[in-house]
Amino acid sequence: MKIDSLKSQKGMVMLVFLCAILVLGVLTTYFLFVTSNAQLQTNVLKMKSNCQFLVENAIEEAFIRLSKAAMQPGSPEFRLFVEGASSPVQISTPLTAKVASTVAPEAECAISVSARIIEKRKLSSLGKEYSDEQEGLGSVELTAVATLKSRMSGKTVRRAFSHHDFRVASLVSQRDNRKNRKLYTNNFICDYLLFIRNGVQEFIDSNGKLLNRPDPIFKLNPDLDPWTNSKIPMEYMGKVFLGDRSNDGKMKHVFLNTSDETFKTLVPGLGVLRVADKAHCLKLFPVLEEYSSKLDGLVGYYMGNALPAKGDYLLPAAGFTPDQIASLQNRTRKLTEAQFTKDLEKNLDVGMDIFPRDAGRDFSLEYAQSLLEGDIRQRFLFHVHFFLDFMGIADQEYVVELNNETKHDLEGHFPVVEVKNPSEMGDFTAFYEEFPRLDDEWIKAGNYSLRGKYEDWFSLYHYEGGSGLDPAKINQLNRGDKPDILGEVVTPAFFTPEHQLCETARETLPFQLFELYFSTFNSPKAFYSSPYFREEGNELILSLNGPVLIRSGQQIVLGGPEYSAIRIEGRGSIVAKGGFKILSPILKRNLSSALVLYAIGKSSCISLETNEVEAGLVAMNESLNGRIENTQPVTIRGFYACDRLMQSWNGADWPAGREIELFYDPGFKSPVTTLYAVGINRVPVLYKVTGDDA
Amino acid sequence: MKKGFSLVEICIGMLLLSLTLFGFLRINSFASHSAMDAYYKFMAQQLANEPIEVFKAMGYHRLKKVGEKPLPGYPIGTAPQIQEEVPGERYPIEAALFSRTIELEEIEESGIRGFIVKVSVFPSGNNKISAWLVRQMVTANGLVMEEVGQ
Repeated sequence: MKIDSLKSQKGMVMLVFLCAILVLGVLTTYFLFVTSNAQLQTNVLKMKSNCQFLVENAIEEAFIRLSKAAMQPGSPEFRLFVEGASSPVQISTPLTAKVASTVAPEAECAISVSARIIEKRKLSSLGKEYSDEQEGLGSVELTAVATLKSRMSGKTVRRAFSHHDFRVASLVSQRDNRKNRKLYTNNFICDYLLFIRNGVQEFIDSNGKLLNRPDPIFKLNPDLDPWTNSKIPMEYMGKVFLGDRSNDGKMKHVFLNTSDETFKTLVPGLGVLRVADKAHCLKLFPVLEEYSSKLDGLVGYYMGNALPAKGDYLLPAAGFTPDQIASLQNRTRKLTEAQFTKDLEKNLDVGMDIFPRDAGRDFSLEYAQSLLEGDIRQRFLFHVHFFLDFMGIADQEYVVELNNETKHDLEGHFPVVEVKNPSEMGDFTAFYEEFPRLDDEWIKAGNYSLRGKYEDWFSLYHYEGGSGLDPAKINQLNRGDKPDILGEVVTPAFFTPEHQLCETARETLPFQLFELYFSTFNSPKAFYSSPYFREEGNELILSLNGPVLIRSGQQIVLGGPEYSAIRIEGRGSIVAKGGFKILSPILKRNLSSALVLYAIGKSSCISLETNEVEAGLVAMNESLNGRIENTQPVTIRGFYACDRLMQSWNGADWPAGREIELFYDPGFKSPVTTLYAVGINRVPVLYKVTGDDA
Repeated sequence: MKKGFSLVEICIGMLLLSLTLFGFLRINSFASHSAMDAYYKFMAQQLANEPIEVFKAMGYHRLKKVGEKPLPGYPIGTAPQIQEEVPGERYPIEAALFSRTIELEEIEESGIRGFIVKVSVFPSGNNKISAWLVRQMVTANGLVMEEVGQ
């Protein structure tokens, strides 16, 4: 029955059956399609992920290689930044290429990276000009393209773009000490042999003992090349700066005693000589008028000498008898004690002497200006000696008579010197040199008393300068009722903050413009294990190019008992917020090597536990209390820059056995070229990845 | 003359129907397998990429000391099961069915040092994931380079 009934509906059953099969087939095919698609998508996603991974690695590696190459002066990458060229530079990424073969072994892979400068600005964000054409701030663009091709997943392309700020700054600048800089320079601190930023306040705090003590703190050698033992020209020698103002801004100068030899070089007015003819002599001594007809050949000489405050120095010493010198010195001391009654000025010891290689030569304005910066005053007495020369008078017997008659009348006379410039000595130099011989003749002739009688005039002068004065000009010094002896007193070069040349101003720290773009380390440990360090025998090699910043407040310890020395390669600076402890001598590998250690933290301190350092040392911070401490006598060939020498004086002295001998390293100042460093910011200002798939 | 289906015809029809349905079933099974394979492969890939991202963030110098000071959750060399204190907090629940091996290879090329990080993820023993995954191991390679300053 059923079969019969089916028989009648056979066509319909077949149709239903076929439809069911069809629906099942469609559903199954769709399911298969969906799942296959899921598989494909998984593979494509993996491919895209791999491609993105490669392009990101490529741009990361390229950035590292670019940063490293940019540290090497002369490399194409370095020139790219310094010259600001717009043409791109290709950067190879071998590490990424190596990894690519393992990341996507089934795919063909191509990676390329290039870098180009998209902008270089010659003005800072504050609108200030940089010190030269090469310095500046800009943006560099890195472009990486990675392509993966595979049979399974097709072609995938990823492009990554990364923009980074960079800065080109000078590490060693051209500088002529005789001229002021026109613009702020990041590395200005390298110009100085000794720089005590808060020196004026410390001078006050120490009652003047900072600079003038019986046991010297410093021996300064600003112009002796410690490597070749030759003279550094005044244009490039190390400068000396001892602060620009006290904390309350009221005092703007310090007093510094120097040795006699240095004194002669730095203080004008030594050996000033001027001739007075017969008419002039008669005007000065009217008592002689009645003998006028017999005085043909009479000449007078004014001799002006600046004497150190302590009064041990007299020029020309050979022209005086020992008794006369002793008498003069004794009188000078008495005058000194009477004059220097203020606390800050009463220390007369030579506590910080400068030993210029040209010490002992006559005063040179250029030399003084090249060496000293800021208002550094030298106490001295200006002594004028008037000398009547009767040797030219024909009748010598009459001279003896004349002397006896006039000496009483001339006593207490007040000769006036009008010399304006030491160069006016001119032809009288010869006479000056002959002076001892003439003096002997006078002594033989029994006229030795003359000079003792007519010489007494002392006055106190300061070697003055200060803010607000044009450094290129001379400051007129008037003494009120007294006539000008020198007429002109030299003003040392001085930078004023108003001109943004604030190299000596307390608001500005060196190397600040690098801060964003340092190679940075978060801890001393990370720094110690960086490629900057390696060991060679028992020496620790420190190889730097450009500045490095250690952010941590922990102290950086360099060297130790296991190292005989820390050897410096390349040029660079280490800036550490936690300061430094130096346990082994720091020595340069060669003349072109240079290292600056810069402690910049809140209580910046560089602690030297060694006796030899060939580096520039800087300890400065915004609290003006950065210091450099040494536990033993130390020789530094480089420079020494700090805010203060001691944290607090409080009546305590500089401890004994901690003398510092400073030699300026001429490598920190270039006569002809400027050496730059390129810093690239690790943090991108723009980063994006795009891609095409086929 | 007889009308209707003979037994032979019905048998042949049944055979064809069963073959067709079997084919559909196979295809369906394959598709299901493929879907689950894609799902677990994707999950395994994410688990493999994770240590690479973590290591890249830590940087070369930390990685260099990972032997002395291992990172919890990312042991080097061993193949532990992926576990977490609160299941499902950081990973999908099923991630616990995977094990992960991390290997480091130090390399240097033209003055740049780095580590190749090789991560392999595979099912922990015989479980449902091992049944679904076609390839029993998913790998990922990463690169951690030493920066100029860290």
